[in-house]
Amino acid sequence: MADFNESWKKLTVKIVYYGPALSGKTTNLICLHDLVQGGGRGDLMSLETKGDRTLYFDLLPLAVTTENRVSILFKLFTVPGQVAHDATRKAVLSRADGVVFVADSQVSQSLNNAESFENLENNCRRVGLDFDTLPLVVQFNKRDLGSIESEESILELWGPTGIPLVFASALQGKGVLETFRAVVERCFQHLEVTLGLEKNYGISEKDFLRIAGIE
Amino acid sequence: MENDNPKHAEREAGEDLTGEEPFDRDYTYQELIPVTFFHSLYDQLQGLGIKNLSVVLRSGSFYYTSHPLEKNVRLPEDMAGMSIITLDKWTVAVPLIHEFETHAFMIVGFSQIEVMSVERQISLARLIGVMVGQMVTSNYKTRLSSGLHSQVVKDTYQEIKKKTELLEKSEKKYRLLAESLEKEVLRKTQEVKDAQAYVMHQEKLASIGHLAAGVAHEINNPMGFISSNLRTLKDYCQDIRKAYDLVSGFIESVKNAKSDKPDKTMGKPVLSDFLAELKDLDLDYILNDIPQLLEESLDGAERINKIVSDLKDFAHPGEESACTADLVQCIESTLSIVWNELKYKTTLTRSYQPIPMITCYPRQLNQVIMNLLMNSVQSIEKKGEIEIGTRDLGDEVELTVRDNGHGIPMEVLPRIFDPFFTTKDVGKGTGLGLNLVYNIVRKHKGTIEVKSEIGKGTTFFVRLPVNAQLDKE
Repeated sequence: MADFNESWKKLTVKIVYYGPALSGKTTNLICLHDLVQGGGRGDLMSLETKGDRTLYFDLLPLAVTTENRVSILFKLFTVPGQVAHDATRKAVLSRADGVVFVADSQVSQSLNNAESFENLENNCRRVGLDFDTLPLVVQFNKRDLGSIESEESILELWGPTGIPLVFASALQGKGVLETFRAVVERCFQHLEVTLGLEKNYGISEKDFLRIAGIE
Repeated sequence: MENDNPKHAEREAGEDLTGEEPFDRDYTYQELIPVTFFHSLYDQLQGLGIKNLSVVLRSGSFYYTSHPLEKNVRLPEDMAGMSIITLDKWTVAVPLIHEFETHAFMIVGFSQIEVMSVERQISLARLIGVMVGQMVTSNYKTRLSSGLHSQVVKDTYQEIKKKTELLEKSEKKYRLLAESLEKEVLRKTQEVKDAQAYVMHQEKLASIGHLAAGVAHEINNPMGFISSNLRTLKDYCQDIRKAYDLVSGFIESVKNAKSDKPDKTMGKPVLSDFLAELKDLDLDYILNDIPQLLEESLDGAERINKIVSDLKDFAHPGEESACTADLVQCIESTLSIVWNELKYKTTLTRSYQPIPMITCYPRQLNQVIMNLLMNSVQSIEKKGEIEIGTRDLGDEVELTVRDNGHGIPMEVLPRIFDPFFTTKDVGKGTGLGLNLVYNIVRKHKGTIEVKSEIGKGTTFFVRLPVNAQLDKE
């Protein structure tokens, strides 16, 4: 739920990294923190972790300022992937403007991916997000590992959905920025329709993409 | 981050957010750093040569100030995007930034007595700025996590409440189900009981039906000689009539002869002829035989009467109330009914000890005695002995029925009182005879015992309390 603060001339955009446990959601944010060049970037804030498992969420704030001095603040959240933390996942997902679904490419994880994706769909409904129009990008992570689903079979399965797909290896920094760019693009298109960014606030797609380091 | 006029984003109406603020909303400045923090900060900074500490929000209003600022200090119009600035020789302004946003300026005024170099002033002010920034970040984290936590707790609570309601619903459903099941079981039990009672009654009728042939024979016997006697009496009647006619004829002729108007057609009455004819009728014998015949017939009628009344006692359906009765009388009346079954195959021995009257349902005891006797008879192949006896045991009386029939096998013994258990061929026995005995004895609060040996015979011992408190039928 993007919120434009008139007095501060600030637009806040919430993007949530969703997906099964240990699929690399936090790694995506760590990597983005290093890769993003375009504007201001805050520190990665991790709340309540246990070992390498996120219990609450991670938060990475990124910001750009447009020529007419409107600041756009992107708040990137991760959810805890473990099944037991569904209430937390639901609360974090609430009011999201865009979602990145980070799937684990390993063959052994395909069931977990499916369950988590179904969980995303259910939680969207529960927090009042329209799953059909929600800006969504699916990232197949861990392409660097062996025994992974082939790109062909993934494309065959996901192609018909029309959801943009990115293959990534977050640990190696591959595909992370592309994923982020894809979701930011979709967020802009969606917010342009719902809020009229260009007309009402003079915010262009270029301003949005600058956050992902693309001029 | 917002200033003194917090404005929260409108929320979409998600199912779980009723009245709950999202944890990741913009927090007000007051929420992130309390005024008291600057109070204590200022207390400590005084020792470092700092005379004044103020926080000015972006709107221009003072959030905190230790002393009103001196007039010559002027704040820049637009503070956004500015870094640390020196306002005058003794005053430095540090931007307070949170999430890329300068939300306030902290103004630090240094003592004009203890002169400090500008570099030192800036370093000190920056240090304080970093401290405040860390404080805000850490408070922000706490706000985020406690906000999220409370949202999760509420959500989880709602979920549990929903589940509890569902559980309660299903528990109620199962309770109702259990109740109706119980009712159904009671209903079915009653049905089975009714069916059993019906079958019991059928069994009783069947045994009576079986006995009817014997009873008919018992009635037929006296009936035979009663009718034969009646026929004889009818003949006697004719003979007596003849004798009367003879006598009155003779008297008439004697009268005529004396009146001197002799009948020409008739001869003189001859006494010897008359006596000869009278003798032919053998009236002496007839008159002697009549009382005997009548006595016999009355006796026969009495026997029929007894059998009929015994049978009535036996077969009478419906309610019977408990009364005191003589067990021996019950035995005798039952024996008269089943006598036809016994007399050809068995030698019956009665060994009655004197016993007191007992409280019982006599007709039901008749049934017990009959069933035991019938079992005994059926256990005897050709010729055997049956002994029926009574004993006084003080509070109880004992009825024994002993036979020297084929006996009951050990493996069958524990089951003989079970309903529908029978060793007889299909159609011959219902398997309810001994069960009925068992039920009646139990109803009389008595006990039944059996001793049996293959080839030697069986004895049933029925013990009945003398003064039983019997349930109403």
